[in-house]
Amino acid sequence: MTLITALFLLLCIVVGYGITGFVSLELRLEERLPIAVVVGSMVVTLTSLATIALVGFSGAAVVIGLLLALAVSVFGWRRLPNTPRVDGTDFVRRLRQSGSARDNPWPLLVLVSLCWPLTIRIMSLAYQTGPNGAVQAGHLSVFGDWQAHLAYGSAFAQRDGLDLTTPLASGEDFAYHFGVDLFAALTVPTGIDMPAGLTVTTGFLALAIPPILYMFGARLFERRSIAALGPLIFLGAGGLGFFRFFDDVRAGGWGVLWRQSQDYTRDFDTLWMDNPVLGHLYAQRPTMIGFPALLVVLTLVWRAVDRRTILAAGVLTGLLPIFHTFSWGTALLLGSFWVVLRRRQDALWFVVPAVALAAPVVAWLVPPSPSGTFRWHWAWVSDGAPWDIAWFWAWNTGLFPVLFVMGLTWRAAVRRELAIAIAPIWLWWVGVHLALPHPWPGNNAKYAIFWWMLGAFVVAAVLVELVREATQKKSATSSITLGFVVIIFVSLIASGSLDILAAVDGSGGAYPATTMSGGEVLVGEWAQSTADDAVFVSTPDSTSQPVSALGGRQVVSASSGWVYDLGLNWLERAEDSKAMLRGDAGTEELVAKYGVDFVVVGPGELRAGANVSYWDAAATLVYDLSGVRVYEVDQERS
Amino acid sequence: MRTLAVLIPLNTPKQRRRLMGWTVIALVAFGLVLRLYELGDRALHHDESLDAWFSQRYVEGTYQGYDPVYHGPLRFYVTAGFYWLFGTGVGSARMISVVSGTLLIGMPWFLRKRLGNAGVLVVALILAISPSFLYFSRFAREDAFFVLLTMVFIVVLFAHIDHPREATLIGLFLALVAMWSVKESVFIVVLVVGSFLLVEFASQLWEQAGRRRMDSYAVVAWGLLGIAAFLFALQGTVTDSMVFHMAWWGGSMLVFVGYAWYLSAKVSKSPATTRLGGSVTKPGVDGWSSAVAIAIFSFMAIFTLFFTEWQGTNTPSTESNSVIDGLVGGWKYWQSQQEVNRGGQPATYYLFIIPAYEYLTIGLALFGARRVWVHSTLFGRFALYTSIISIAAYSYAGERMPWLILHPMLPLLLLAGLGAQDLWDHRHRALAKGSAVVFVAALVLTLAASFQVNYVDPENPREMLTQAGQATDDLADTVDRLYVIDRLFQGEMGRSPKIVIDSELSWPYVFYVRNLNNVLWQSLDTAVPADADVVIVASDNRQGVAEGVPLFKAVEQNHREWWVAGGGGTADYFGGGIAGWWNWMVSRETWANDGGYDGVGGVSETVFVSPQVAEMELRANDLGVGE
Repeated sequence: MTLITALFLLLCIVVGYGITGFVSLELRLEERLPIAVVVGSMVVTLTSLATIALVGFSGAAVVIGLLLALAVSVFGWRRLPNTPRVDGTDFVRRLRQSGSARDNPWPLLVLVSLCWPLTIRIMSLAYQTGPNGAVQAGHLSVFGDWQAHLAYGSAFAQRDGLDLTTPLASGEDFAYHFGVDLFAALTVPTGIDMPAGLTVTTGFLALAIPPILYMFGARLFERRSIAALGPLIFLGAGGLGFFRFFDDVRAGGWGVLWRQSQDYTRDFDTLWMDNPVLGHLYAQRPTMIGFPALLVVLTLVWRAVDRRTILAAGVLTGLLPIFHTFSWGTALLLGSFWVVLRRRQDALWFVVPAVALAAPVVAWLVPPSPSGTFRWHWAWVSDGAPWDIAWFWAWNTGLFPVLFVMGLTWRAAVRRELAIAIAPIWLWWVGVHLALPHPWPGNNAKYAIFWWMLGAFVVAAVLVELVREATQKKSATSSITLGFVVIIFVSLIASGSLDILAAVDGSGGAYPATTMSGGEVLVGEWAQSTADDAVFVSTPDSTSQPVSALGGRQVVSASSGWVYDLGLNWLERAEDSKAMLRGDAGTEELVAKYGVDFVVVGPGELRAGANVSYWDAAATLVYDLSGVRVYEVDQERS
Repeated sequence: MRTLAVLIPLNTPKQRRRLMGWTVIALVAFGLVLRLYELGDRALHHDESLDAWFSQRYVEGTYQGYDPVYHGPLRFYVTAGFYWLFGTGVGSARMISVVSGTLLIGMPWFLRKRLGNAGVLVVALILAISPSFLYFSRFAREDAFFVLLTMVFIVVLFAHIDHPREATLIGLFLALVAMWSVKESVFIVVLVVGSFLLVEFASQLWEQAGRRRMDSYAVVAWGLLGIAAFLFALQGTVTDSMVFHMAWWGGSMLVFVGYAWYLSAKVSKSPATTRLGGSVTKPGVDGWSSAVAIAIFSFMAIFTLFFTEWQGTNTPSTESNSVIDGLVGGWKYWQSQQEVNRGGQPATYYLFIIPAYEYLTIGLALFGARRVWVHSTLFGRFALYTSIISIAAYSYAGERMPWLILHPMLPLLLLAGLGAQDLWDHRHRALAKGSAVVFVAALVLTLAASFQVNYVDPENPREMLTQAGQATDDLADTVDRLYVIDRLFQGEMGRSPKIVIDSELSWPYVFYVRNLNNVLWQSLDTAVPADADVVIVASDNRQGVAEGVPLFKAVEQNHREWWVAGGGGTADYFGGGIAGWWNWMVSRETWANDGGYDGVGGVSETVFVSPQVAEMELRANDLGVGE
């Protein structure tokens, strides 16, 4: 990261800080700053998108976008009730109070002092330079999902104009909530490359998430203990997979703690939910904006004292789809329910912008044949009988569902109005058992995660109340109760913590793993010099496709799994790509069909059966370095 | 829009203190930016690469413990922590100095009652922008870290003297242990601060005895006596009698203390009723026991790698016990090095390098000395005494290096802060107004010098802050080139290139090429391996290698560069005279000796690449990749 990058991110915070002035809610420094990170990133991304559309992608466009965002934020700065200096002084004053004072933020400081070093460490391992100049991924999230995000970001950063065709399947619309990847691309003109841009922006947003989780807990549940415990339960969540760890210990000793050979929250056999940090936040980058923005919206709706705040929540919701469509849907539905539940006269001030601003984007995001991917399906990935469903959730989330229900019905833990407000999130949980909206069934976890996130605070409330009652009664059973609470808490976070430990340690298992060889990195760099709309053919069997990942160029078919998940004709594209690589009969027609300009023949393509002799004769060799060849197709000739 | 007066209210001391506080915070932020800007751009110095290397070994679990040759282990642990957070690299190797140098900027705040508001701001400003503090806050050695710990020690010391209690006593001991586990300069700190405390204790006993209050003249006289003792001990310069010198000097202090104690006892006054005496007795046995116990535990934890390594490193400069090595190994080794005088700098070295870069501080320190003379306070006497004795001590010590400038600079800066406050207090006087103009001019020149040495040409050997081990830009470029070659070769040949590096050139290459697979280190005064793809050889051995690989393409470059003033074996800073120094100050021109040699030399190296590698590089260049 360069100093210019840091300045860019700092200015995003400045933008966001000012934007919070549009909200009448009296926010504290430790709330305003993380909200500023998220909201500022969103606003800068949107204004930059507008300037890129007008003048193309460049450093100047980013600067103009930033200046526009700053201009917008000025109006908010003028409305701020206090200067940052006053807020800072107030923060210090509250910190100096007694630890038991209600607004002493020390629990938040403990939370972030635990989360932030782990975040920075995980980010420092995301991309590594391996032997021979290879780019290595430090975690499955990077090896898999981030390669797609790299392509999305490069599609902006390495093209001069705004071209909303996806790099993963030539000729198709982007149709993806690419906002966070565009935000990463905006850092490239500051002097870093795209992998660094992904890492830096992920880290930047990740640092804001624990404080926003804390804010949500503090504002809704009004207890610091719940505000601190809720994030831990969510971020460390996993199911009962930790029992497998004990099997591993029996086999290999306690040293396996540092040499984990398996994941304990995901195997896509019996474990599908994955840990929220590793499987949802780290891997699926849109959630880095979606989740905290959702929590901000809900907090604003819950605590709004006037129409201005409700409108701000509605606008923030309306801007979400390009960043994270799932969070938009949750914010819209739950937020609408909440404004009605609280009998707000200004409910439409939330609903109208939330729908109106979002509608065009949502329409554009809908895949070409949604009916082809959506299907009714009972019980998600479990066998269907009630016992199977119960066992599935127990295995995937432990005692979480039971505690969640308990919290919603225990008035001492969660007051009635709040319980009624949060209860509808169970519909998301029910929904995953009724339908498969996406090609890959695992994507249902993207709906259940909201149930997990909001429920974490309810579960925290239950644990806190149990502790409170036990410590007040001071009876013989109190110690037993406290012991149970500790065991329950540990069981809720053990599996997730083990997986996070593996990600932090970075030296066990299959990672770091090479995601792009040195030669592939070089061809990716070269691809940046080709025309913006150049179309490449490369192997669909690999997530390592440097011409899209680093070059931002379209490929006929990226990794088949990604294309499949986008609801596109993945099989046809994959087979056509391989046919072209092999030089099968009909290659010329396929080249014309997809408008292919270049054919890549590297180690991956050779494994897919690429025919070098055919392309030596049929096209012009324009790149030959470090084990990778690229042929330029003469389309007229073909 | 609110008025400026409302924005920056200065009516009450609380408001002024708050403004000062925010200004210090702003200076800290500014200093952080200065330290981070292009942090990884300058090539690693020889010593930096060693520090970086040992820290990496700690991460890998192969670091065996304290070896006084490479100084204390604490900083390897801290740097390893930065590696863990940010990954291993040049920037993260320097982070310990960045963080230390940045925190140091904020430390004067804790001495605000002694320095005054103006003093705090000026000291913080100088710490932020000073050429030497900025340079070595971007330099992966332990000096910035050590100076931060020294400052912490000073702050806690005065907090303890003001209000003696167990917590501050523990803080003092922990600071001492931390300093001990970073660098052997702790012995100099103990000597300088300890001798001051003895002198001060004696003066308090003297005053308690009803004698005429020992005024500033007497304090200076005793200080001069101390220096005279040093100078006397220096005669003959039999450096293996360093212990004798220290004993002589310390003994004279103790005699003075003893006499003052006697006088005090004669009037039935207990030493405990003096301010310093009280700071010793008030924590009580419990306080001292806790402090000592915590210090022992911390010391053992650090030197035994947190109780995992008891046997020590077993090198020529260590015993076979980690704790013993920590306790006496450092002293023994550095005592033995006094004769060696690595670097070949004369005893007057600091009298040149400090004014060369820190004239702003010196000028303000003169005003500070005057203030102490006129209005003597404990802190003022401390700053004056430790400034003079530190310069003397470091001049006496047998190894004089540019990074050691920070150590005598620290008390000098405190004295400068007092000077700044003095000028501010008398700001209505003509002298103060005139001095302010000079101050601003000196500040501008300091900024220019700082910018030059830190950003424009940080490897310039003509800068006194750079030292003989400083690698050149050429070396850094070669490292980048090696990684590109590695990337190209692997793809073309399916293996890593064989890179042979002359063992004379080991550092900093060892750290830089840590991620390359096939690197061979050997002395290249004999044959070159036949299957080498890249050879990097020192200039001494170039001819032999060139004959061994006639088809290789060669590029000659500088590995390290340095300047020895006067062009001789030992630097001669008098040789240039005033004109020479003026030229140096203005344009960094150096003066030549009678033979015309201006003392700028270096180690050069030649990078040989095979025809195969050369062809790959050419192709990559044509395609515009791999740069």
